[in-house]
Amino acid sequence: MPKITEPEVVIENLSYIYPKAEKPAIKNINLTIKKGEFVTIMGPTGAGKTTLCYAIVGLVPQFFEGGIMKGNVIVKGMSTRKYPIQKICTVAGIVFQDFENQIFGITVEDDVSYGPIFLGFDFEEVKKRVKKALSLVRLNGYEKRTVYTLSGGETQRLAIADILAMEPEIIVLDEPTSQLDPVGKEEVFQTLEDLRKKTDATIVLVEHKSEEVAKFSDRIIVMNDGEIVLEGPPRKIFENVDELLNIGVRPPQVCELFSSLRKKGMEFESFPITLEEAVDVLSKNLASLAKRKTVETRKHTSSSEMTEKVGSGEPIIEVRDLWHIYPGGVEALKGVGFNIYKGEFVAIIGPNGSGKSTLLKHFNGLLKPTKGEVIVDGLNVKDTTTGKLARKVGLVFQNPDHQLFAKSVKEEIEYGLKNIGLPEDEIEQRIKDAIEFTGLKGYEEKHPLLLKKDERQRVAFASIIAMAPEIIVVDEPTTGQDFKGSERMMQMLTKLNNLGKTIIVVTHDLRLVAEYANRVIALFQGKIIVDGSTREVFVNYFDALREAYLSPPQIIHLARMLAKYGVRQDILRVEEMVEEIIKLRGGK
Amino acid sequence: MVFLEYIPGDSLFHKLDIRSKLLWFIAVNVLAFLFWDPFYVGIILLSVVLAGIVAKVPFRRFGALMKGLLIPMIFIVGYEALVYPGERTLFYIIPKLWGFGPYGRITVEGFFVGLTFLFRLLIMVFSSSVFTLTTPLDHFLGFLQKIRAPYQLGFMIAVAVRFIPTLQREAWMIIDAQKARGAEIEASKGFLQTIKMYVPIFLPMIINGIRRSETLAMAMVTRGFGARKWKPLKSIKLTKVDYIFIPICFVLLLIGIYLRIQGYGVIAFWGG
Repeated sequence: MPKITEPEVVIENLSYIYPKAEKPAIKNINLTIKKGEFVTIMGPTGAGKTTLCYAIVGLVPQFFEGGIMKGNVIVKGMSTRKYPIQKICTVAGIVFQDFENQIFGITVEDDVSYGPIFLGFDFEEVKKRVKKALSLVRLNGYEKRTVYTLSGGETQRLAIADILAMEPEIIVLDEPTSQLDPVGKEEVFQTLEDLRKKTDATIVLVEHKSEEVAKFSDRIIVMNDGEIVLEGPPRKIFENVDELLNIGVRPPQVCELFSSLRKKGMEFESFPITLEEAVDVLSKNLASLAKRKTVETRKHTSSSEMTEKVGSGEPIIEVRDLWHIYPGGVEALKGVGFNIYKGEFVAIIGPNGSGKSTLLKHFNGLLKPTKGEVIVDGLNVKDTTTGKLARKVGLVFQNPDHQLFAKSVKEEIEYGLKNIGLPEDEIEQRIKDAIEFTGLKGYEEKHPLLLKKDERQRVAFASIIAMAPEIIVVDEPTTGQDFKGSERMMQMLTKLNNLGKTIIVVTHDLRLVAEYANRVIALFQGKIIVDGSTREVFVNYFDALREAYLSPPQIIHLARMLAKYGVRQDILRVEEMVEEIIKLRGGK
Repeated sequence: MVFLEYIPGDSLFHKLDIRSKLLWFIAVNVLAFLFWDPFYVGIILLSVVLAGIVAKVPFRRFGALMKGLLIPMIFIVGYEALVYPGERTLFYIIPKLWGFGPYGRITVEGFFVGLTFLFRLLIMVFSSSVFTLTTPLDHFLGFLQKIRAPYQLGFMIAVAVRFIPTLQREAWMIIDAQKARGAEIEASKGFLQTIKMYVPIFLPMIINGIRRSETLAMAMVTRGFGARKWKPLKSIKLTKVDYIFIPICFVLLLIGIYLRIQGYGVIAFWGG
């Protein structure tokens, strides 16, 4: 007989309006979470995921004064209306998305011990808890390290240890991986896996990465516009591919694949949600096929796209044996050389610390080469000021909040144009164009800081493209953005590319790289490990990428694992795989 | 940031308790202000420099600071030498010429007083450096706890120190972002122009600071801050070295005061 346990969290008819807000952030939420359950919340930006997390730990309604809460949240028998947050935190802890600012100790050990100290435990107990928590997230040995010296992944693991040291039964994690690089993401997922195996904690996770979510969630909750719209085990949820895409949640690529195949009238014994399951189902399917007719061996390695050169053949950026050594001796770039041609759409990929940002900053002269040369449109960056290069190279940084300062969207865009000394009427026109291009019409007089994050990102983007640079360089345009936001950004870049602009994007999202870029440069430890057309890089340098912690999209993995059934090896996108399988099955 | 910097090491000063070092710091400075004779003050300065060598203070790092202070230092000595009502003339800045002058009488006493001021300044700079460079933040916090300062005060200081590198990095990112928009940050303009130039850097800093503080506050309450009165775990302890060092400081201080009362260390005619 299964043991009947009290539910850990009971949420009844919950609605919440933030102070000074007009409409509720969440409404009519009913949710019960059982002990030991692993629940994942998905949904687009602004769906109310964070608010729901805050409600579970009592930050809503207690932390925000003047908000209106309806309904009830009961955590381990405690109503979040009646018990203070400092009491609820002993049973439910939260890890925030912003990994850096939730750490307030100077050393790792300090930071983990604060929680138990605040709760009043004695020296021996605090020591014991710190030790246990750090070993669970595999940070033992880091005790005396200054928190500032940790990587993103390590910092987020530290934040998890902070919560573990309080020994709560429920752990809420609000997008713990969205600001991390692939290595950091991997580390955090590994930690979650460990928690699931080694503890009996109940876990509530907000996460966009559906391929990981499919692997270890017991239940998925999809939110949209403040409400729960779908709820169930991963297999049931990820079957609704069209509905998810419509909401703005991207299901695993294999789900997209099987959904398309189903629509073409193909039947499969089950609906796979992980790579392994997909390989399994397709192997059986294609193997039975192979029995009937021998698969003709096909040549596919020299498809025309593999060697195709995009761009006009005239280099717009020339990098020759570029070295950059920071004061202090860190060698960020060690002899990097390549040309970027006019009209290319280049993705620069690589884990954090591989030298990507250092490289970008040479394009507009924010950094000068220690050795070697960078020539941008005929100008040597060594003797050109950033102010002058800003007209040729528009560099959009990752965080829009590092540049927005003006009172209105219009003024924000105007700033750069005034800096480069354009005449009044020209400025007016350019502001108008940039606003139109980024879909910010009607926002001209609004205060940038009151806009949503993805809108702020577009304002920052508009302020750069208004300067009409020939080359547009974007650093991590999709970090912290949901699927629709990322797509919109990539589409805007494609549109500019079609207008003849040269686009350089730094991103960790290899799925987007496979879909949008026509050339990939992969950096690792300050050197270029691969440079070529997107297809060539993903297909021929698959293993080299994985060694540099860059895992190609799921569909490319799938193609490789199905190689023995004659599946084309140069597949990049889901649609190509759909076509290929239909072809192999002898369909139309 | 000299105050917050700590250079790890195992010198005598690193081993001493913060209270011993504080006593030493007070004693040295009291003595420096007690005496007027530059020879006496010079001996104290020498002892502080010696302490600095023992504590392995990187004197080279003071180079830049000293360069900045050079003009004020010369000015102090020069000014005192000129205006101090001394008796023994050293020389005149403008000698007697054709019944003209002399002007700018420099007296021996004035020169000595100027020298004393200079030595005192150096004693303050060096002794405070020896004190802070050998004392980690934990000891300061332990000290605050010992003198029964509210525990939040120490916590606040620790959190502030934690965020210094974060803020520094953020400032650089903002400067880069604005430069990428064609801002000329270094170009020197007028006062108002300079202020205007920095607005696009300071405003994002302030706004991000507000956002940061919200996450920080949420992280603190959800980790039980304010649940009850708490005590930092680390506390400071006097050891054998301190029990030897403290009496020595006291004895030297008392000897100094005694000598001063007996009339030593003043400039010959002082008060005469």
